Amino acid sequence: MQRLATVALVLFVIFVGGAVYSAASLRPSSTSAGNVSFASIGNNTFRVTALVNLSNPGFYPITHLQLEAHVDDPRGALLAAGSSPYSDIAPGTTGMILLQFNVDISSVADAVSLLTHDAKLSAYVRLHATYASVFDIAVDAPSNLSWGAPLAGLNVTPATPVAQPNGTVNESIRISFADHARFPVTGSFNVRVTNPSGVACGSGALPANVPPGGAFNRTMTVALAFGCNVQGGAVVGSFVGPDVYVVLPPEPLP
Amino acid sequence: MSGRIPAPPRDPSEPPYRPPVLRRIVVGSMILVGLIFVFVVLPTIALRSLSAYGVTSGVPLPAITAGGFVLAGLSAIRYVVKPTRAYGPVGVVRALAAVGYLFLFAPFGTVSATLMGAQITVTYGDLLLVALAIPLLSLAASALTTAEDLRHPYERLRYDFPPPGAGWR
Repeated sequence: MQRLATVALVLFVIFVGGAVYSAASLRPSSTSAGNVSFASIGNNTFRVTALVNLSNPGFYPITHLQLEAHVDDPRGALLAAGSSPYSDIAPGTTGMILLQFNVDISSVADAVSLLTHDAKLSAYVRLHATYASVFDIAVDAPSNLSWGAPLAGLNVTPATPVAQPNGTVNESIRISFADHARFPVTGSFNVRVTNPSGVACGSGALPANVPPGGAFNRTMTVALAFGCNVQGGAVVGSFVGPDVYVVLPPEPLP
Repeated sequence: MSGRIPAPPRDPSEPPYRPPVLRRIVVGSMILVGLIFVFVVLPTIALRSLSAYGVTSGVPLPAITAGGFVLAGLSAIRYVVKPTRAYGPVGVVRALAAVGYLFLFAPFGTVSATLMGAQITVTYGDLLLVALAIPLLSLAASALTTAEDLRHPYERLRYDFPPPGAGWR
């Protein structure tokens, strides 16, 4: 039995040596949060995707492999989190771990500003797995993500109302923004010109179709109702599109 | 023709051969030095070298050193007392010490390092628990030896220490 213990010791040493040698040949093609990307899936909801390819050329399997991630807003509050299902990578193969989860910006307090302001978001990716059945491995990769706002620098500028020869009053409103997101911004600006009591004196719509990286700078004209005094009033409204919905901040009329 | 052949039958009334105490102490001392190198010096060098690269271990170095000295010392003593009836009990103590060594260190069995901004942590506590099989087998063997030495005091010695010249040609 003493010899059995010696044989067990030799087998143990061979096992550990083989495991260390095999583990040294593991090749993660990407484990950093830099591989985290955003895509719009509509209604102010964005899909966060993280992808890790892991090559396992060694002698032992990788089991219970899981990828977790969470994204914090610029204030440090949790924006969203998710995890991939557990997966295994057999010896001599390459496995792909795909992590996807959705961020509903409308459901997170103060996160709506991300639709109109670029930001640096904190991303935290954690990969954990069991190697050779006895080694638990965890890789924590914090990183910063550049968030490009789809309506970056949104600016609504009402001009002074102009009386027309026919007695009506027209209000010109200039709307500008840049699409810093990786998806096109399509939709319509729906605005109302209100008097100081909040009663709408006129309304209009301005369609927008801006490619990623493009800019939008257009002026719309709203005909005000006859006799409606908008002095001291404001321009209110929203942008409505399949991807993004934003309530415009009230802009007082000059 | 050369090679090992079974020892010739001996007269049961003949006292078994025992290596001289001084020789056992010398060999035991050499075993002690070798095992201190394995259990104390190597881990110390390894942990200090790794810490220079930012690799940290969850097991404190003083604990590894103390445990290594205990195991090395018990192993050397076990060799020295091999021809006596203390061999089995010392083996039991050594095996229990090894079990305790592995069992106590298993919860702290982690190695951490930072690589390209990522924190990598490897937990090998389960490996230490698997390694418990080795001292447990040794424990069983030592317990059997203790029992056999009580039942047949000198029987083991005829196999453990064949007299010089016997069994070899």
